Amino acid sequence: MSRKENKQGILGWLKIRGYSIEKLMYVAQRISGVGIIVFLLSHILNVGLIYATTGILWEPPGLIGKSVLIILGIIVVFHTFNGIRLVLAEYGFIVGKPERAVYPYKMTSLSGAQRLALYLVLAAFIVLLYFWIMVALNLLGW
Amino acid sequence: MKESTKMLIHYVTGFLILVTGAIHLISNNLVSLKWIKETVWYPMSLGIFLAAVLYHSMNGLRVILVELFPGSSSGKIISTTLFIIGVVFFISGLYFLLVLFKWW
Repeated sequence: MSRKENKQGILGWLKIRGYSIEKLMYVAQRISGVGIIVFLLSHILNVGLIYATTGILWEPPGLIGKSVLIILGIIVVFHTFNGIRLVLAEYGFIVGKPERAVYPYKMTSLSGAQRLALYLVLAAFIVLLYFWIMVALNLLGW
Repeated sequence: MKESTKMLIHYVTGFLILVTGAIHLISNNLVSLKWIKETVWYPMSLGIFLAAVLYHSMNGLRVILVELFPGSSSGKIISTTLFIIGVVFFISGLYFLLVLFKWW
């Protein structure tokens, strides 16, 4: 693929309309991944540098720091569950069998087990989100 | 290295992150399981976590950037740059771990 063929760049990610829900999950997986990378690299430097220079182990600083960690937890949970779905799809475990293209066309490879896996990911994410919010409220002393 | 091999390692490291990341979080946040941090296996688990998480993140970033900037020459520049960033973070992270556990 030449550079001209991907001229939409990141803006192409935002085109959700007319696509299946998998496109939305694709974008969410990438945005969550980049968010985790930003935290991760700053965490390695932050904890390491503070300990190496002062000998003090880093703790989440106050309400804002804890809130960042709580949001990060939510992002990580989503990224993990969706990642497992993507691995299963990549190796063909949840891909539906192809059928002859007859009008009205149906995306048979995306329906069935793969769509079920997507709903399971969303359901597990919502359930864990509930528990995570409970933990977070406890952490914040509410 | 073939693209499929890079992605296979990406998935294996994802699983390793799941296990070692859970150990890291549990031992830091559950009082009853803080003893894990006293064992010799904990620093090793953190070392594996560091290596796995850096490969997973740098490869993930590579996939995104290669898709945004297609072409073999830009792909090589992206891969090399991310490899160097990953190695720098791994060495510094490993050094911090060795200092933290008094092995340096």
